[in-house]
Amino acid sequence: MLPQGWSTLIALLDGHPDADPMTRVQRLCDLCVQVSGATGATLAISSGDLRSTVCATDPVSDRLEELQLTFSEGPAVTAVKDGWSVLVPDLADGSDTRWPLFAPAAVEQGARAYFTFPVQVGAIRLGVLSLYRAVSGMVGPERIRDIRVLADAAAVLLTVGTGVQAAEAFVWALDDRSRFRAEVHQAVGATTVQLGVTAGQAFALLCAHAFATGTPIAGVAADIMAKRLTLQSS
Amino acid sequence: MEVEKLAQTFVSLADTLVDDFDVFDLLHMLTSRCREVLGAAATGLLLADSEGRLHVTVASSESARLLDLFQLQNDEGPCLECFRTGEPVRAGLPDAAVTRWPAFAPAAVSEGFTTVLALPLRLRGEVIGALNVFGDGDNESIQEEDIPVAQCLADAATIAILQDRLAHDRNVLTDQLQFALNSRVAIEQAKGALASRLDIGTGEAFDLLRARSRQTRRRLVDVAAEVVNAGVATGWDSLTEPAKTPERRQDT
Repeated sequence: MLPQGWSTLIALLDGHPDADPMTRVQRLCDLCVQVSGATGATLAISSGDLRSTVCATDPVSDRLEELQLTFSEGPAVTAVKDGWSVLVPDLADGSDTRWPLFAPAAVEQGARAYFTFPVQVGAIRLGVLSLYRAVSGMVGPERIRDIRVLADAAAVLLTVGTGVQAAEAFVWALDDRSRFRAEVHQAVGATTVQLGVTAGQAFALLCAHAFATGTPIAGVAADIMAKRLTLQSS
Repeated sequence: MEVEKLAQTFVSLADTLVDDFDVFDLLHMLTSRCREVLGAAATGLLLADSEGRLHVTVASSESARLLDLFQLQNDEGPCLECFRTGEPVRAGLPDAAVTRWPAFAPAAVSEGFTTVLALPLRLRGEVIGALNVFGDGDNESIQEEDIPVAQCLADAATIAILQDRLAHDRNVLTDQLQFALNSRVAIEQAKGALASRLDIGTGEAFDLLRARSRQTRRRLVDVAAEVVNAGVATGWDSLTEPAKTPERRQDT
């Protein structure tokens, strides 16, 4: 089980102060495999119907992601589309007919169970975190909890990683509990309209501004909603 | 307490659960009815995420100050205590609570509230969230004997959340909670986008989202996602003159 608290998680992901975003994504996927007892994991980013793999811990994981791109079907495709996690304890179970092309192909690659979690912040669909296991069976609730924590971390990682390169901004955003306040999400929406950017970009700009000015994210959001501040697109 | 309204609430609930329903609309109805039945000033429902943090999922009013007050309870307050112990918490404000909740109690008092009640959302021994009720009359505006009634409404909310899960053929409850929480975030994002585009308050923006959801018979969360991801695209400005909204029985 993952140790409690973001600071521990950040320390795990951020072994070196100058670690680049790619290194962190790799650590996150490795950590995901460790805590879940899965055989392999992938993190893919999505944009509309398009998806591309950012990181895969092993060739089979990479291949499973590829198969879903080829067939345009599979648990990860469903997870991205619906915003739900999709848990498949047995890919060889013939009674589940949702993925007639993907399921047999995945079994052939050596995967028996597949678990996939959308990486998202509200309406911002960033990507999908997927795990496979060589043996069938459901993953336990404790482990699911851990994977969700990592999917949440991946959301901040992908957002801040694309909008802001500074490693410290990521740590800042992840450690700021005020990012869960309603006003923060409202400010993201307001910024999409004011700057004509996507919600993901707006969230990144918000995190970056908070970090640059040393203000809690909720404070920046309150200023935006009270029209005391308009963010500048970088 | 108004028995007739309570009975009506359960009729509406039974009526709604058989259909493909919008869990947000239903929870919104439940919190509003709970406020009316108990003669309370405000009600809100908080659900816990996978890390045990409480998040506001619905509130009887979309006022930012009220939402913030609920959210404060992520760190301290009756909801948090109730969530941790699984027991109802009732306290008079400010006398009983200032020493107990030094940040939350003064904030609640400054909003004019005098009593607070928190009820657990329980499922098979697990607490998944809490229902929060604020009173603004004299200190006895929410009585001990109101607790069972409020608990019934809290249980009804739990059933609604579960039922939605069954409707989507999902395996785990946490998934359902996660979906509800993420949907709330999407709704807040959409409120911010609409408020900025139309230069209106976030409460009014929420009303527009709801109106559009009903007109088009789509879930609130889907309408919210559309608003957020539409970017600068137009089409929503026409909402300033909304068409007549068809009334739905459970919300009259």
